[in-house]
Amino acid sequence: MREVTVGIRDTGIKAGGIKVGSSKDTITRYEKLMFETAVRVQKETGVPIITHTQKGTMGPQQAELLISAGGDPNRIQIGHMSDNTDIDYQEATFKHGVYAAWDRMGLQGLAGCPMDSGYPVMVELMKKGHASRLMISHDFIITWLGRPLNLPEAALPLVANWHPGHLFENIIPELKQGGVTDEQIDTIIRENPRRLFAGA
Amino acid sequence: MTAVNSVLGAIAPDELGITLMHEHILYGYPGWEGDQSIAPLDRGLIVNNAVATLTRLKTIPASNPMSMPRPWTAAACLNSTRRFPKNPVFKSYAPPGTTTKEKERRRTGRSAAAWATSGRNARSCSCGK
Repeated sequence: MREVTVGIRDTGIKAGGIKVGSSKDTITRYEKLMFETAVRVQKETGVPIITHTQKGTMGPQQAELLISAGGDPNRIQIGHMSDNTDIDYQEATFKHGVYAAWDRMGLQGLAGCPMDSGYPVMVELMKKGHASRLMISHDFIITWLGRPLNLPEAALPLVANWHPGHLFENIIPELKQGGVTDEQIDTIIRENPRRLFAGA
Repeated sequence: MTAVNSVLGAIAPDELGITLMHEHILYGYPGWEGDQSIAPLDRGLIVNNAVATLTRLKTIPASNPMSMPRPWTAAACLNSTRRFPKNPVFKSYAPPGTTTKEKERRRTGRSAAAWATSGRNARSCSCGK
């Protein structure tokens, strides 16, 4: 709460969002406590909550937990949804009215979810009317603290597109080829982030 | 309408524009601070990398986000991190009979001579420059 309303340490810089995460196939008691605490802060400040899901699991359950604790679905974004291309998993998450982020674009090769199968799923989601709840990002890391990720040479091609220009250089053209409109793209990259922060 | 707490202070959601929701300017796994002998904190590097990358992103025209001035070169960024000594702990294992030269090569990922003449902190990120 203090980091949102007063600032982080003595910097005067206030946190613009809260991030919480859960484990693979479970939300532990400790993680649940963090989710509930985040909701308490959101209720008082309106700050958005974004999440980490592990290995493409617990997206719907995270949404359910946050909302049942009193969180505002308009201010919740379930993260790393790109780690699971099962359309039922995606829809079960959207059902709760939250935002969902395909936010590991370019990194799926390492996460075991190659993008060849991902683009058609994204296009399908938009055809089903979920463009107004979808966001795209990369989870890119500009600089690593401590030793950086040290990938073997053979693994480098898997992350060849893991950079913050991937969305603009490759993803948007792929989506447009699949029939996604300019208006839908604008909704995803501009309108949805605005609405998440505005709570609309 | 709720204000957005940006690093430079409160702004209106309408001022956001095109937004990447989940990126890291700086990231470390818990315990990174115990790794200072091998990968010391380099504030200048962190700031330079961040400014270069974020400046580059800001050149993407809002009217046509697909028209990047030139291709992004993340590969250069990832490769630059490989100038670090590679996992010295794991690579220090050498079976009996291994020559000193070979042990050093395993430890550093390159020859002892190359290691001695190289700047240990000579790492930079050309990403976005």
